[in-house]
Amino acid sequence: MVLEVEACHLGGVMPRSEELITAFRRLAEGRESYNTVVDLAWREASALIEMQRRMGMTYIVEGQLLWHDILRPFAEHLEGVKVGPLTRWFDNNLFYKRPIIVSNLVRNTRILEKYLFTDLLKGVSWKLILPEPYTFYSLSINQSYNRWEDLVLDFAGIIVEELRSLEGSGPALLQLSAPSLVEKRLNVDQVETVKEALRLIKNGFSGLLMVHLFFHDASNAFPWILDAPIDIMGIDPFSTNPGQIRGYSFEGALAVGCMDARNSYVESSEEIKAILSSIAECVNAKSYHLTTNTDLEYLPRRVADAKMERLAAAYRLLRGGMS
Amino acid sequence: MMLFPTQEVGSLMRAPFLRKRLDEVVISEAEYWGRMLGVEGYEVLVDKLRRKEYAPEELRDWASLYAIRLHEAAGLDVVWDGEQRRIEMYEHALRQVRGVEFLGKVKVWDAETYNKAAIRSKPQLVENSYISEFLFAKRHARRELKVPITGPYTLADWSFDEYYIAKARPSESLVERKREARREMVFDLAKEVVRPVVLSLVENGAYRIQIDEPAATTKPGEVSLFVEAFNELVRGVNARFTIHICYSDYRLLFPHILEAKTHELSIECANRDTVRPGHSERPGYQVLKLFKEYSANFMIAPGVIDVHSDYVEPPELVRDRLLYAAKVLDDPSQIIACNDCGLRTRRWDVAFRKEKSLVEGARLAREAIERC
Repeated sequence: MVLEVEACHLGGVMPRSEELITAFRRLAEGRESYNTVVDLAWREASALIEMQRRMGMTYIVEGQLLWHDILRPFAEHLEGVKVGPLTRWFDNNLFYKRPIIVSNLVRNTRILEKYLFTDLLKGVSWKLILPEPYTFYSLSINQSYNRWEDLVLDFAGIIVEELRSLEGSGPALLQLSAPSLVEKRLNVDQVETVKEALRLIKNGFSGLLMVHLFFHDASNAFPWILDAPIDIMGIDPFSTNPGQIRGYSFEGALAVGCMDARNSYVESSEEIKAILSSIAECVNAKSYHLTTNTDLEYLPRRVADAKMERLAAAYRLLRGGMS
Repeated sequence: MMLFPTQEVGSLMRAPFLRKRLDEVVISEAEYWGRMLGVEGYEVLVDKLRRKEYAPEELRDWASLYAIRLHEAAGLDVVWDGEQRRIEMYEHALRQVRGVEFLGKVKVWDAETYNKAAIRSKPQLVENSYISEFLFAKRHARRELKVPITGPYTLADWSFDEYYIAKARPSESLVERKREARREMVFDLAKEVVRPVVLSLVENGAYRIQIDEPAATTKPGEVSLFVEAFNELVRGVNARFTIHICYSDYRLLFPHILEAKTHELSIECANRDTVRPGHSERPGYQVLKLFKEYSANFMIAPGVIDVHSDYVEPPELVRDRLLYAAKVLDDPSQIIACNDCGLRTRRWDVAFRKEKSLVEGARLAREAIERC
């Protein structure tokens, strides 16, 4: 059997350099201006984009270095949402501020353009990472919506509006990070709402839509995820038992998170190939992408760079087919 | 035994002369606290600071003495030196271990980070600063001491693993391979790093030892591993152990925590509570119902002082929290009066007033129980 490895991209938000961490720290202490921090982040994002381009990444991430957590831009700028308490991010020593939904979501400002360096992305085939709507809902405190389904669908609508607002400089690939879809098995009603939200986004976006399932066994979303309206499904092999997903087929591309972004051990190209094969033997997909199992922000920046380099090297070896 | 004995949890903000550039303001602070806490010979320190004639190690000794006296002056029954000699609980522990390399800063939240290490070979304790730290405290303390040490599960959970994952048996499932690697890593840290510290402390006369395990519930499927590692750590050791776990979902501890061979469990509750007086219902202490339901056989130290706020709890609030805890557990003798966590983030004046309030609140609670 020949596997076609079609693309390579990073699976999430990048870590900040120590210099940028210090700048943010100084900003929090009132010893640095926001503009200085933004200038530094811009330079770092620019270098990151260039690095990925040089390495031959198919889709390039901007790094999302201004984001304290993946929910924060929405918690800070959507009307109807307040920034809530510090809460553990799944099973990590990492915390996010839980959004509190105090009234129906209203978007009255362009949110993403405040957090992305879109000037660096013109003409670039880039990838944006956002929270999947059900995941956004389950990580928030809902004090307003009577029907949780409405909150999920409203958030999907916000994503579509935001994508439209990016106009000519929108992403080629949108990754919806979706650990809540696999934390436990969803019931039929939950699945239908998730699919409806994905459909809304898919219909409102001309690029490729990916759902990345990480931190938990992807089989918790099988088989319903296989016919969800998405182009790419991301899997975390470090949390997924291959035996549980054996024998399934997926009509889209399968993005296999062959690099563990939560550990500093840098996988060799051989190990990356073996991990990809172990998943590909179980799930038959139209094509395969190489990616990381989750965001790289769990790593110090220099380790993340080393992992990125190794992933790209493995891609160069595997591109165009492996048997 | 006296009801509601009082303890601190470990850390205290660094003494003024350790954390700031030494100018006249800092020297005045050293003088103020020295006089206020009754630190013997503080005038010598002040004089040395003024003349700039001191060695860094000497300042750390003074800081340790000041912190011990602060806890004692507040009236606590069990004290420590506020970890004045330590960097922080994770890095301090692993800096003394071979097989570990620090790789750089990783985010904890927003702009908060820590210096994260990777385990690159079998870890082995090669230095043991805990002994001199303890012996200094033992020489000077007028109250009983409790030594805090970071536990093996937390050291593992907050570290990268480059060694065990590479040597774990190849398996079809990476999940299985990770699980095997993780178990070995936690047990090696228990046996090769933390247990030798515990044994050496006990050999040198330590009796109360607190094992800090804030990561205990981070991975719900590994709570039993944390408990197994703790039991391995304390196996056959003649000491009184406290496990401290803060800012966690305590429901996840059950039922495994009941197997832990600990004498005390210290948890954070005040942070989740209201500051309203009364002891009919207290939201921060609902978790104690689980300990009652499962008939936990160790003492519980529910935090009655919030360490993340400058608000100084009035003694009456401390009393009400303790009385509520006693009511839930249906046994006041099972309760220790304690902070949520270390007071490292509070200024000394706030920390001192909070500890005094803790002591006075415990006294009021004792009185209330005796009246009944």
